[in-house]
Amino acid sequence: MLIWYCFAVLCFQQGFSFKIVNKTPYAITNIRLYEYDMHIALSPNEASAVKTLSLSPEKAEGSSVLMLFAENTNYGIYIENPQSGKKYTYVIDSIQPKRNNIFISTIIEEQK
Amino acid sequence: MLFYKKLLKSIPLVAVVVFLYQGNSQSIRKNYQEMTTYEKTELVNAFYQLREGEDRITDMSDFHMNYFNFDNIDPNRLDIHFNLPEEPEKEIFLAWHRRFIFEMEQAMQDINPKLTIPYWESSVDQSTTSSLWDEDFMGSFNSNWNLNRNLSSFGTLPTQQEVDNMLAMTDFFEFSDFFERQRPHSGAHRWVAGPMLTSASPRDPVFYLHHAFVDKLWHDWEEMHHSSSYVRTDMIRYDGTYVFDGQTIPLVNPNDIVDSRALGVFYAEDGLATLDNYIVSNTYNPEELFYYQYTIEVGNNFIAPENTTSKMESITEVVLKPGFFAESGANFVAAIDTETTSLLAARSMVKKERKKKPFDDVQLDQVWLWSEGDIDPNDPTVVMQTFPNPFDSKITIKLNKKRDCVIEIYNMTGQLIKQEFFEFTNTLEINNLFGLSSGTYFVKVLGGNGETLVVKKVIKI
Ligand SMILES: [Cu+2]
Repeated sequence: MLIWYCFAVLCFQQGFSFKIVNKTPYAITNIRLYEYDMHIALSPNEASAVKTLSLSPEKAEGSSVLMLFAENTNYGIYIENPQSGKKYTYVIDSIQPKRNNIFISTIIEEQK
Repeated sequence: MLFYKKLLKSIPLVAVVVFLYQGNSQSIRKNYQEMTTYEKTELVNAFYQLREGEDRITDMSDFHMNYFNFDNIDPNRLDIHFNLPEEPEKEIFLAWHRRFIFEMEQAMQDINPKLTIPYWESSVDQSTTSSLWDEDFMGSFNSNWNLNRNLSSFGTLPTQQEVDNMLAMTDFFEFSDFFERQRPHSGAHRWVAGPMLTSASPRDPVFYLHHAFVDKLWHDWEEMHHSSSYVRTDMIRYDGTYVFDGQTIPLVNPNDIVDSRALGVFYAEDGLATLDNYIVSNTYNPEELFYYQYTIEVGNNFIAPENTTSKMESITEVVLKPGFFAESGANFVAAIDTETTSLLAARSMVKKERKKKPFDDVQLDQVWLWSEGDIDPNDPTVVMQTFPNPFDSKITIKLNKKRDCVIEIYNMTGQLIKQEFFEFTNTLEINNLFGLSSGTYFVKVLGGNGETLVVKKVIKI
């Protein structure tokens, strides 16, 4: 049991880090990613602190959805599945409140 | 037939309803690759039309976005995504999307009753140059609706193995949770990108084709496991209060639609649509039309009751099998669509090869001799007319009075070619006669006790 547990943690859990950058002219609140509530508000051009998580591949795939609230609208967007050892910067490039559009880009770097 | 009839009469109606579904619309959903050119053109036109005027596309997309998920704002609020495994009491993902694409399908059928929402089998059909993305199919929406799709750039589509493993899962909520979060559902959302990546995904018409596939897989799972069950008994948008274009959308209990037949929905695959365990009701459409260019097989407790109107229409064949009932007073027609064939569909129609042809099983050993005549010597009141005679692909048989009967068609050497059962009716249409070679055949009408009523010679041209 113990051996299996260690094996599972070492081989299947993936550690990765991420942060979120707000490039829009709007304030963004209620940010939730990987079922993790960030409990921050990002003003225009503000970036969050870096957060490190460790998730099983299945959990990572199944929870790679970014939710956020801006201009009285709740936005949800699927994001890339994170991989172990990588650092992800999710840049919220723009929000078009009248058209319910949200555009994000992802910068992926090797974790140092 | 007698057995079924006795069975029906001996079981109280309530008991029958338990395993038969009374649908309120109708549709044979097919892989979009099995649509005729006519169906494809009409589907594309319908999407464009639904974006105009009251704009149901935007209304549905906005609703999906506004109620996508509230976990980042108020975890107790009802939403449509990501409730499992922690909140089974809020879970409605599969049922909600089933009802949602059905709403779109009904709107389309108001435009053209032959339309159904086809499915995109994303575990197999994975090329960015697939005909799915042709300019005259899903392709044109990309520029016309500013979708900015980015095919194949984010994430990957599911493998067949993943789908098969998922269908083998036994617990409904575990199945639903895996389905929603992993590639069988989320794969296509990421892979198509544009709005499909976001909670406004129903703005892209391919959303409905993707979710028809999701719905088909749930249907396949439920046919295997029979254990879909929700804690909730209501669903947002389908709670009896939502109004679109002056019409209140009815209330739906998710548990009432765990079998897709409850909505009159059947899924065809590889050239075959099997329609079973269903009662025609005309609740939604004055005529229930089941349309598929390949083989439609109707049987196994498919019932067209009195005072209902239904039609099976194929370009290839409609096969009526034991367990099919057209009750007295039912207006039921099985027909070959020659109109569409001769129009747009003719260009796209390729006959689907099936492993078994309808007449492969006929034995060649018995020789029969017939006395001919339109009148049954034992009951001069039974008069049969067959027309047209000579016939090509279809014969209509009219009896002068309604009765239970069996129609058998034999060739000159006495081989039984075809047998169909009818309950208390006097107009019998037999289609699906393409497979017969030219020549002389005998149509035999047997009564409810198996006695021969009348025999008539007919010529196939
Ligand atoms: Cu959805």
